[in-house]
Amino acid sequence: MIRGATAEAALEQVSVPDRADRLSWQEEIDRALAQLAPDQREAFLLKHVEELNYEEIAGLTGASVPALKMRVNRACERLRTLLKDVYHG
Amino acid sequence: MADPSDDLHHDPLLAAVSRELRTAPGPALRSVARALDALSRERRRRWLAASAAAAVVLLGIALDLRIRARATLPVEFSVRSPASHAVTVVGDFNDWNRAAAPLTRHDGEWTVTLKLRPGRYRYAFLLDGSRWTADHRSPSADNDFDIPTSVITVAN
Repeated sequence: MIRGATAEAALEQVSVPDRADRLSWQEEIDRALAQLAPDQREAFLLKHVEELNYEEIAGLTGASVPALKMRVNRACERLRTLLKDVYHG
Repeated sequence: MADPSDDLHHDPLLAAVSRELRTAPGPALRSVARALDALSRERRRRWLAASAAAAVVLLGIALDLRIRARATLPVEFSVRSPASHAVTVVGDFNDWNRAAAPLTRHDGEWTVTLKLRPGRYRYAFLLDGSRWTADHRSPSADNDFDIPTSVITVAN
């Protein structure tokens, strides 16, 4: 799942100012993720990072699909709140 | 109806978060691994805690049942028979041993207190080693032995 060498190589290709911004953005994401409830963080990561579908997540976690949708929804709302002031899209 | 949180394309902020976590190097990717590891540990811990709690409850129930089953309760047997010289109570609880449980006389009333485990017991009084009588204060039991017998239920 984690491709450290590839990731480090990609990091080297980023220009210095971009790299600083990006690291800051990554840190903000880290911080925001850490503030999510564990079950919400899990659901969000599995859905939107691992890109599993709800049935697959339900199989992994034992939670029902409606419960997982609720968790993802709440994770999204919380991330929006936590990151809106630092996101400069 | 599709849930908006199923598709992040409409939400630039969350789309950027998702993209960053999927493709970005360094801390963000490591955070995914850390988060999933932590979740895995947390789930194992919760499972162990739940298992331990269930085991304690089951053990408690088993012990309680065992203690209840093994606990004895005092049960007084008495019969009025002023003319008798010796009285014993004989039943399932002493394997119908005629001499195991002699009663003591108090002004024509014979009594003995036995410690019995919970259960249902048939019994009768034996007067002077030869005459059987049921306990008229207790229900009659099915008479398998050709003697008048009573039945007592001992419960916690």
